[in-house]
Parts: sequence; structure tokens; C-alpha cells
Amino acid sequence: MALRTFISRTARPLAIAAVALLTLSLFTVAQIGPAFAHGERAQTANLRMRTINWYDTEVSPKQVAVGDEMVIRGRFETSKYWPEHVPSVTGRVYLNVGAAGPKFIKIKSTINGKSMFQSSQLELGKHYEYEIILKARVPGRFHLHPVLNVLDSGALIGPGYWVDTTGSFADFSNTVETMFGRTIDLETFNLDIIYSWHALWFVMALAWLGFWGRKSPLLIQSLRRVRQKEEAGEDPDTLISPMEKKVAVGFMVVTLMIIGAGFQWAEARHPVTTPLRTAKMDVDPLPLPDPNIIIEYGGATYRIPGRSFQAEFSVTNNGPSPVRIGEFLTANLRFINSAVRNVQPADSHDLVASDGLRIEGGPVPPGETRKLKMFAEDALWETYRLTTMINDPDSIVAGLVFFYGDDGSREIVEIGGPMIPVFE
Amino acid sequence: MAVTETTEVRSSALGLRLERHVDWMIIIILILIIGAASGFTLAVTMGDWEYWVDWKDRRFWPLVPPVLMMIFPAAVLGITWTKLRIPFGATFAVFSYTLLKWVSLYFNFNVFAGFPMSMVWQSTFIPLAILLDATIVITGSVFITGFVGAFLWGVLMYPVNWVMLAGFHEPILYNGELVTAADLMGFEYIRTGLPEYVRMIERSTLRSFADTVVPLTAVFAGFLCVLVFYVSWAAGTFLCRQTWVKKV
Repeated sequence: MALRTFISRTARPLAIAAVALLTLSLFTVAQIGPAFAHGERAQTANLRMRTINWYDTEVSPKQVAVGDEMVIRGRFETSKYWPEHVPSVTGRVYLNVGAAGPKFIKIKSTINGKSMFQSSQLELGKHYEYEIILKARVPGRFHLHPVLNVLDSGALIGPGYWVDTTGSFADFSNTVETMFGRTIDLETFNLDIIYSWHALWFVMALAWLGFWGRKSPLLIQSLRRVRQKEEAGEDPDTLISPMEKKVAVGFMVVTLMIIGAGFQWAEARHPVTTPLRTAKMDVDPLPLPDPNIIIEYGGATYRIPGRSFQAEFSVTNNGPSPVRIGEFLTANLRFINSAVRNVQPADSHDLVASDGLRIEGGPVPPGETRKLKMFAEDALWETYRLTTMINDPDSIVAGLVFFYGDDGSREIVEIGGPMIPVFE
Repeated sequence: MAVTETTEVRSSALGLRLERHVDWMIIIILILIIGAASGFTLAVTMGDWEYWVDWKDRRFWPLVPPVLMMIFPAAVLGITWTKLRIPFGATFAVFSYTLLKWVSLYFNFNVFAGFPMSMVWQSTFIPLAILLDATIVITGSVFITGFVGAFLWGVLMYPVNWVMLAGFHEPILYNGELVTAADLMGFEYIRTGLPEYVRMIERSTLRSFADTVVPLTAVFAGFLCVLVFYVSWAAGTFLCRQTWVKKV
């Protein structure tokens, strides 16, 4: 009776608790919305400004159907001001894509033409050209970024662009041919074997559990029987009957036979297999001509109230034509000198300040050295949480300066050094 | 007199019915608790080897999962054998884990994250658990069960699961490179936070024993499983010594 009372008293609170938990779970699930960002603002300013400078990023086409291919390509420079305390690309690095899961599959990725199927290592202060070919898998609107995963540092994310995919996931297949001529669809490959093998062992498990659970009621009676044997000074092992031992032997034999047969079947079906690949790819930097522009960094300030970054440097032009600064790029933010270039944001999240760069000091004629003052001013500093650079312990900033010659040439130079915040 | 006998019979029938209800209640609760607890523990210790097909290698996959997987089944078997003389503890624990793990894999990795199930299937440990349970029935000895059953658990994990994995290790020539289907899935299906180099898998090393990898790993896994079995068994039998159990 006590047990009955216990059950009747606890059943209702347990049921209420279960319903409450289920309601809470459903409510939580209902609140889940799509993620529209990949943490590009989360990393410290210091890390974003002095690691990978992505430029010339291009995504095309930006509208595809399921099964169609698209390309992310561009270049990046590995900063020579890479923070000493942060493991760099000289260790191990992997070219990846920032996306909300496998909405696309990656068909091919290269750096300077070398396959990036495996990870690689790069040099600091060098330029590289990358290309990632994707195939659309799931319909929807997605924000895609190129990413470099750096061992022990994490994902260093490049600029992102919106891409629209139309069609139906049901139309997607991902077939590939093995070296033995077998065509397989990786979306469903081997699932029949996986499910069948698991189902077989589930049946065996249920048979084993059912055999030992055939005595009903089970738990309390078994506990009592063992207790009685122990209190009587007898061996509780005698509760196991000879028939039960025979059944156990049978289960053991059948299990071992199935394991052996399964292994032999797999060996016969796949006589040649290879281990997982772990090679490391070597890639050389882009061979660029000797620089015509030489910059001597003269310091920088960041004026917090005006969101104004100022840098001073002397520029020596050893090239054949006058050069002007058309762009300053840091942490994926592009500050454009509208007097030199017309660059508009490609979409709502393209980090371009079309008129965010002002230069004092004019063009630098060939063979001359001029002192220039650069003003990069835009709310993007605030929006993309780069104002936190004033909190960095070493207060060192870096970025790429794009020089444009009157003859249409372009030269990219990295600047970097200490930055002083201005608080007033 | 007749009334008393009838009452006793009714009371006895009611008691048996209640005990059956209690059995089912406890069994369902235990499936959820053991499945969830072992699922959580194993997810944070050996998760990646059990999620991703391109982590199932020849060195760490036959070693880490079976050793860690042994913890709960050995403890539960310790309890069901010493307290109940019901030798299905290991199978029950593995069955619960496997059942809930499939639910988790399907919803978390396939429905929510969008990975194909062929990339995120789990290994099976059920036959190993049956062997462990059967060993204790046949021998009645905890020592021999650990020495034989737990050793078989570690040694046989790879052949048991090779049935499902072998196809994924068939070579493919892809863009001029030799890869496996498992490698290709790891490359193609985008995992922004899980680059190739993060995988803890076999790298080339200087080897002896005629270049063998799996047999050596399997034997080593067997030895470790024996140790883990004894420790977990002891922990399970110790932790179930609550006083309320004696009063039932």
C-alpha cells in the first residue's frame, strides 16, 4: 500500500513537471531564428587588424540554383605585424568557408593554384591568391565568407557577401566515382548498410534484454531473491540456471559469428582501402615585382569622438608615374578615397566606406618623397567594434594602403605601428 | 476467512501489477538517464570520433571510443549483477546510449545543422556489450569477465564497425589527389569551425610490426578496457550502496 500511495502521490507532480519541461522546450525551440553573422565582429580589433588582410574578394555569381557552382576568389596578405603572442600562419592553416553549415559543398579550393584539400603553411608579410569553388546544396539566402583557420588561433574571417540559392534540396546529389569504378552519392552513401547493421544489433540487444527480462515483475523480485540468498549464506550465482548459461553461450557464439562474418563480408566487398589523408601542402607566395613605393610610418592616432583614424607617413615613389592613395583597408573595412576611386558597397553588409578616406599631401611624383597624412573616418569603426583597439595591450595597428598610379597601376603596401587614442 | 483470503489474493495481484508498473517506470527512466548521461559524457570526451566519418581513423578511433565507452556499461553491469543477478547491465547501458544518440545525431546534425547522415553516423557497441554480459553469466567471475569480456570489447570494436566504415575508405582520385570518401565528405561539407588539421587522426610515424596499425591499437585498447572495466565496476557497485535500496 505504501508503494501505491507513493506512486499516486508522485505521479501527478511528475506529470506536471514533464508537461512544463516539454512546454519550455517547445517554447525555446520556437524562439530559435536563423543566424546572420559568423562572429566577424567578435574577435579583438588587434587580431583583426594584424593578421589577414583580405582584398579583391569576389563572389560570383551571387544568384544560383541548387546544384550550380559559384566561386569565391580574391587575395590576402599575411600581416608582417602579426601579434607575437598569437600563433600564426607559419604553423598550420586551412582555407575554409564561413557559412551557416553545409548549405554549399566545397568542390575545390586553391591558394596560388595549389590544392588546399589539406592544410598548409604560409609566410608572413606575403601575398596569396585563393579560389574556392562551391556547389549550391540548400535553397535560401546565405552570407558567405572566405576563412583561414589557423592552428591554435582560430578562424580568421574575410569579407562576407550575400548569396541567393533557388531550387529544391531534393534535386541535389553529390556523386563521385571511386578508383574501382563504383559511383557513389555521398549524400546517402552506405546508409543502407549502416542502418541495417545497427538494426541487426538492436534486434540482438532486444533479444538479450527480453530474455533476461522475461520474468515479470523483474527488478524488486530479483533484488529480494539476491537478498534472500545472501542472508541465507548461499551463493546468489545459483539464481542463474543452467539453461540460462546455455542461452548465454548461444548468444556469445552467435555474436562472435556475426562479427566475423560481417568483417569478412566488408573485406570482400572493399578489398582495397586507404587510411585517411593527412598530408600538408606546400605553397609559395605570389611572385610580385619589387616595390616602387616605400613607406616610413610616422605614427597614428584614433580620435574616439569623431571615429577618426589618422596616420602619418612619408612616401617615396620610385615608380614611373605619380601615385595617390585610393584606399585604406584594415580588418576587412575598406575606406575609399572618392577622389581617386568610385567603390560602392556590393550589398547591405559590404564593409565599404565609399567616401571614408581623405589624404593630405597630394600625389607623390616619381622620384620624390612626400609626407602624407591619412584620415579614415566612418561609423564603420564603431559598427564593427574596432574602437576597442584602444583597449589592446600593445596598441599596435596595421592595414593595407592602396596606391594608384596615373598610368592605372596599383601597388599595395602594408603600414603598421603604434597608435595613440585621443579621448577628448 | 474467505473474505480475508480474497483480500490477500487481490492484494497480491495488485502488488504484482504495481511491481510491473514500477519495473517499466524504472526501466524507462533509466533508459533516459543512462542514455543522456553517457551521451553527454561521451560527447565531451570522444564526441568527434563518433560524429564525423572523417575522424574514424585506424589509430584513435579504435582506441578512444571503446575505452571511454566502457565506463557506463561496466558500472551498470556491476549494479545489475551484484544487486539483481540480472546480467544485462552492459547491453542495457549501450542500448540506451545508442538509442538516444541516434535521436541526437538525427535532430542535431541532420535536421538542424544539415549534414548528411552518412557523414555523422555512430559506431555500434551492442555486440561488445552482449559479449561482456554473456561472459559474466558463463563464468560468474568479475575477474574473468574483465579479463576476457572487457578485452574482447577493446579488440573487437574495429572489426564490428568495419562493416559500416570500409566503404568510406575506398580510394578516390579527386582533382588529381588520392583521397577517401570520408576525406572527401570532410572537405566538401562545410564546417567553418572544424578545419582539417583539427582532426585527431593517425599521422605517419615510424612503425614496426610490419606496418600494422589497427591490430596494435586494438590490443592496446583491449588492455585499457580491462582496466577501465574494473574501475567502473567498482565505482558502480560502490555508488549503488544507498540505504534506501535495502529497505525496499
